[in-house]
Amino acid sequence: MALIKIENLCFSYNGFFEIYNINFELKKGEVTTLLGPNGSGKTTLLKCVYGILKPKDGCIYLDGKSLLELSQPELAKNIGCVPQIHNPVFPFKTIDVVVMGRTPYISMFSSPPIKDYKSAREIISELGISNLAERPYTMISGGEQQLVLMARALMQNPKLLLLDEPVAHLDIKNKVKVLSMVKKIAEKMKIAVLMTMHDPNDAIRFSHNIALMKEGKIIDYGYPDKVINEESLQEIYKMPFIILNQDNHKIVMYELEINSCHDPGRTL
Amino acid sequence: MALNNMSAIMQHSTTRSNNKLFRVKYYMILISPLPIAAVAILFGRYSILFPLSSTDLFILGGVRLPRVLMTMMTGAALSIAGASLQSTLRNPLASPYILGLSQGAAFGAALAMIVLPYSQFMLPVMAFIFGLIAITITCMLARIRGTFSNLAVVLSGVIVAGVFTAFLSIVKLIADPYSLSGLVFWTMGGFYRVDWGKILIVAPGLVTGFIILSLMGWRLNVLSMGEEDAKSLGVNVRRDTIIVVSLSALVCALAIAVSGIVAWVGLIIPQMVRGIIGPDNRYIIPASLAFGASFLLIVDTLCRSLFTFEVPVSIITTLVAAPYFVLLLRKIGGGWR
Repeated sequence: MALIKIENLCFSYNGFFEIYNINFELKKGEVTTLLGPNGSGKTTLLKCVYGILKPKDGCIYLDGKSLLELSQPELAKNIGCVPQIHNPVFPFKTIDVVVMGRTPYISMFSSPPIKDYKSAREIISELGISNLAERPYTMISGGEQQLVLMARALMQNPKLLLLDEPVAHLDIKNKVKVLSMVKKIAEKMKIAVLMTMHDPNDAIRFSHNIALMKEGKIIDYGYPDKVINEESLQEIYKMPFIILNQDNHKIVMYELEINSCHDPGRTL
Repeated sequence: MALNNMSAIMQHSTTRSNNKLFRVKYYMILISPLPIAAVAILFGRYSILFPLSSTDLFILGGVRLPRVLMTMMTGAALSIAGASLQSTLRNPLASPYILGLSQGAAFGAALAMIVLPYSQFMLPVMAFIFGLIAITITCMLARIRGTFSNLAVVLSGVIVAGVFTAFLSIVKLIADPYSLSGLVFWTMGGFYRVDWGKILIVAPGLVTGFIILSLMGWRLNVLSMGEEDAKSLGVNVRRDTIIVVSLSALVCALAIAVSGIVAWVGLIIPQMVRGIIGPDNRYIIPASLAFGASFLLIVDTLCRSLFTFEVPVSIITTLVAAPYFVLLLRKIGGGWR
């Protein structure tokens, strides 16, 4: 059964950030990637699922229950969110940042118990970043911060993990590390993952399902092999692509002829 | 493998010795007010000689003890408010004085002193109301596109502080010469007017504020990570910010109502504490409380015993804080990391 069911979701903010008629499902243990150009509504959709933005129409169900019925702490117990990296002002120890994931489980006037530190150490060793535990969070690299934020989200014990462009600022090695970890975690811990991404190759490699977005709508949804082809990519990005097949892996290449491609909506 | 083990063990042992050092520092700060208070009570222009005469007892119990207690509570209040506001607004420069909270509270208290009919209870109440108004305006002005930008917080504070200082000047203008001199001295900060009656009025509010803010250390950590992060961790950011800001306004206003404006303490004490024991608010809040109490107690004891006349505390706190800030500025090179 689907963990998350999205029905006829619509959102708009003063005519901007519009998304229409979004319908799809997320299953436990599967990574779903939203792929589409800038401004196609990926982040808006993510924020709706996450509950920051209230949908104008339609509904999102988590285990059959509408998200709107959940309070903020309840939401945080079910949905873990890995925001885009930013540097906080105060240099907390990495282990403390990870333990902050337990916040929805503790009251305003108490501190996390020792057992939360124990499970935080288990999770960071699972992610292979135990060596960072005592280092200041502000002094570690972007890739490491991304993994720390992921560990923090996992501390929330979520059923669904949301990642907004988790690899936007990472070098290729860190990118592979983070994305492999996302896939491994989803499969091992039976968590549903929804993330946004820009590189079609990464999306093909690391997701079970891909949703293609264009102008606020999902135009196709399914297995990477089914969804990604030259025509579909050309349709959403409005530029020509070539797809190579290497040992049963699709590799997306692009042609450098952006100018020759006619785009009636964007002429200057 | 063996090498790995070695380094793991070494890392573990440095962590443990660090922890030990941390504990020593933390508990030293926590107990520091006790010996300092003992010295401060026995110290002054009038020498206390054993065995104690009845005059000695009156000076100790009726003059110095309330003064020492109020000084400690004022230092604690300003520091704890500074530390809490710095975390909530994610701004290392936030403090009651910079955000206009002190000036607002001072204006409210001045109104109660000069304009309204005299009442011991009105003074702290008016200080709290206007302190809260001032810091609410600052926060509203500083909130641009859903976040508190560092520059906007400081600039809004400058604006609000300026306006309430002007209002205070108006009160000074209409005050009669007799009240005026008292008012002017009071705005420079001082503990010479403290008696048990005033302490009994403000102490319950102060102690309540101290306890609640001390318990909110972990929540302050989460809030200091930023609004979106805190929300994604299930925190009701708006509600919690209002709680922290109101409690900070409460403790500051109560302290100011008795002691007048004491500058800089709320800014430098949390900074110093953070430098000594690190960024974790679970420790910063109690440590700021103790360290602020100790610091202001030392300053006030110097103020009343250095010369034959009493020096207003703000003069000394500013003269101590300015060089410290210059050092800090040099050390961090203009950035905050």
